Amino acid sequence: MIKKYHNTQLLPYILTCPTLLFVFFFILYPIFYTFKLSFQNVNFLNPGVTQFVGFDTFKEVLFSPVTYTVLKNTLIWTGLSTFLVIFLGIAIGHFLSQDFYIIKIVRALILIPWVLPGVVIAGLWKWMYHSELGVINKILTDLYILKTGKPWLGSPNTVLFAVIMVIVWRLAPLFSLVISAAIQRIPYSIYEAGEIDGVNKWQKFFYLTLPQIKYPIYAISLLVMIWGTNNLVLILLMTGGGPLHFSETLPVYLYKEGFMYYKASKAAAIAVINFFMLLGLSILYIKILVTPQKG
Amino acid sequence: MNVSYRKIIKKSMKIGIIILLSLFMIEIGCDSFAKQVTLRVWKFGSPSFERDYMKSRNKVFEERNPDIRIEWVYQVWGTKRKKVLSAFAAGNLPDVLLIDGQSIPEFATMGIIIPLDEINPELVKSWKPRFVPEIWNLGVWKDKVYAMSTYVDMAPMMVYNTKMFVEAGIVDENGKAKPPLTWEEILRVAKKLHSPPKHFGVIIAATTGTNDVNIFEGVAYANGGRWLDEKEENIVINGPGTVDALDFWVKLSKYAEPGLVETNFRQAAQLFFQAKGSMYLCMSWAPILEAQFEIPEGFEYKLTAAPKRKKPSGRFPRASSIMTPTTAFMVTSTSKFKKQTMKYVDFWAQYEQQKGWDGSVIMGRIPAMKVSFESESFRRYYPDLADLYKLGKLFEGSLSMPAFPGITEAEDKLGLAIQEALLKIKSPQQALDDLQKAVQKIYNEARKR
Repeated sequence: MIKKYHNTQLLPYILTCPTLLFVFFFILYPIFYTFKLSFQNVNFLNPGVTQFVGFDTFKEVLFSPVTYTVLKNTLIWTGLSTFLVIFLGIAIGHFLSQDFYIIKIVRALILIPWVLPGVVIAGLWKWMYHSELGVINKILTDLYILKTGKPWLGSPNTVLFAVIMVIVWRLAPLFSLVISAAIQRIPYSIYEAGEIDGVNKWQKFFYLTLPQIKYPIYAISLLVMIWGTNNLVLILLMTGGGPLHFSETLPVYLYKEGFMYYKASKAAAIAVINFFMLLGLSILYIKILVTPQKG
Repeated sequence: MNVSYRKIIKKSMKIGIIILLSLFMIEIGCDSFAKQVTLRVWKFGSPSFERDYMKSRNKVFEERNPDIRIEWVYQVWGTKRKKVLSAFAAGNLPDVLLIDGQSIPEFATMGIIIPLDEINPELVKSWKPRFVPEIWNLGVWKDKVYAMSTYVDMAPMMVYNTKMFVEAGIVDENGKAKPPLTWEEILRVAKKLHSPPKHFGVIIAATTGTNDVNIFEGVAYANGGRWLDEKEENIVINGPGTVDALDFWVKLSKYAEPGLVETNFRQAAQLFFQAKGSMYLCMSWAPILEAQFEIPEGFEYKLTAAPKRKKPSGRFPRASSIMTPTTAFMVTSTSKFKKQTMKYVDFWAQYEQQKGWDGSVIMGRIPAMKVSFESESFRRYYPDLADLYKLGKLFEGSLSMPAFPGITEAEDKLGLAIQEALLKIKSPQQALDDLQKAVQKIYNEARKR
């Protein structure tokens, strides 16, 4: 009886062991190692040196003028891309929830931006945006909207917004499919009741549809915010963070410091800042939007 | 139920151990049966026809050395240092790297590569007489031979559209297109041929990519500018040689494509070869890129040295060109097969392998071996260069491309400084003064080792 009780107690731990090991080795340990590295002065051009330097690396990062440009870019990048993905995602999702034959075809095609590899998308849009070689400028100049090709990725004023358009193009379709599925699950009786009360199309959308899909919106918005913030491939391959840091975000900054300049500790410090920034944004998001609704 | 669960666990563990042991035995068995060593070789960059040539020679090596198999992996040029660094950190370096000579100081400092003359001094000594001394020295750092070169790329060079020149009346006394020789001349010619949006006076690549920065470095070095002073202690990139070069770059950019800071060397070449620009300031690899683009019918061009300032304004002697081997053979510190890697590098140190770069197979590269310059093919494809070589003038005044620990970050920051000047955010002097301070710090840190 004692043996049976003992085995029953151990069983949950044995079953969760593989997952726990995975979480430990691939999530917790790297996080711990990154924190540890951020308090040292590891530079690959100085192999073998791993001195503890306290907050010196963080001071170097926080007192660098580049950091503030990068933080500003990251906030614009995160905020604007999340907002546009949500806005377009809801609009397209509402459209996709309709019951026309063509919607079925659109629903299949709309996932193309999501399934294409990031490297392919970056290469494609980098070519499309080019001032002389790109198809966007060709169309705009042929339609006499522009006189000459505009360097969308070469101008400090337009580069960040040009790359934001690309990530919105990539993420909005996925968001719209989730919204479309959520809308289709709304019981029709709610709309029937609304019709009896005489609601119009806009009131139906704002007072009946939106409240019913708020939780999927909250959940996927948080994911979009995190995916967008941590996106490295698009910016790195399209602009490299340039020109002159005007499109550089925290992940790109981190990558350059670690892999181009060999400054492992500085890259780790930037990763820690990124981590806390995202954690703060997520907690704020949940506190402001999700918790009051549950209350 | 618990008893049967325990039985399942025990049985699964037994099966798992048997499978693992079997795989291990097969692995050992295969190795001992084959007695074959696999050398992992990473080749960075180069167009496909050049890589195909190298792969065909690798097959010959494998036929002559059946105990060695070459595992050839192509890697993108733009990710070269990051790729090697990641592999080093993960303990996953290949045996041989085919990469640029500019990386030698950083890789040697990090312990990624080892001197070839420490593995087999006699063999390396036997190679030296075959190579052009200026090119041989590009593989040497701190008196140790780290790399064996196959060819070099040189900067600054210029390609110009001969048809556009003739049509605009920019010709010599024989009616042939006359390329500009000085900065003043190129500015005049670029202004005359600047006809946007049809075509631009000049194409400039001004991203922070290494090729784009190397082209500018070539212009600066030709004007007496340098990264380091004579004692190699101080960064002097903000001297008049480089400042005036950057000022010239800003003036020239008025006649360039509007998106020059987003245009890299490859896109710039595409613009030139599609007749969107009358001139392109580039490196000696420009003809190599031609093969990758659809050239309009009747398109004709020539490659020549880039225009220089009449009299250099920098305090250092004019460099006629700067050069680096971009397919230099290096052996990594983690290679377990040093004997076999040296056999492989020795194979490539023979003229039989390197003759393809004399123009007979691959155009647009400056070969590394003396005998290549004396070959019929080289004379046929590069008559001017063959004459210069015969007179001992081809490499006169040529220097190595800048290479020191910290060069990757330094060149990236130079690219940013160039963009600051081109976008008129800072004056050339201001941009280079700020660059000098930043890079001096980097260089001092790197020199502490």
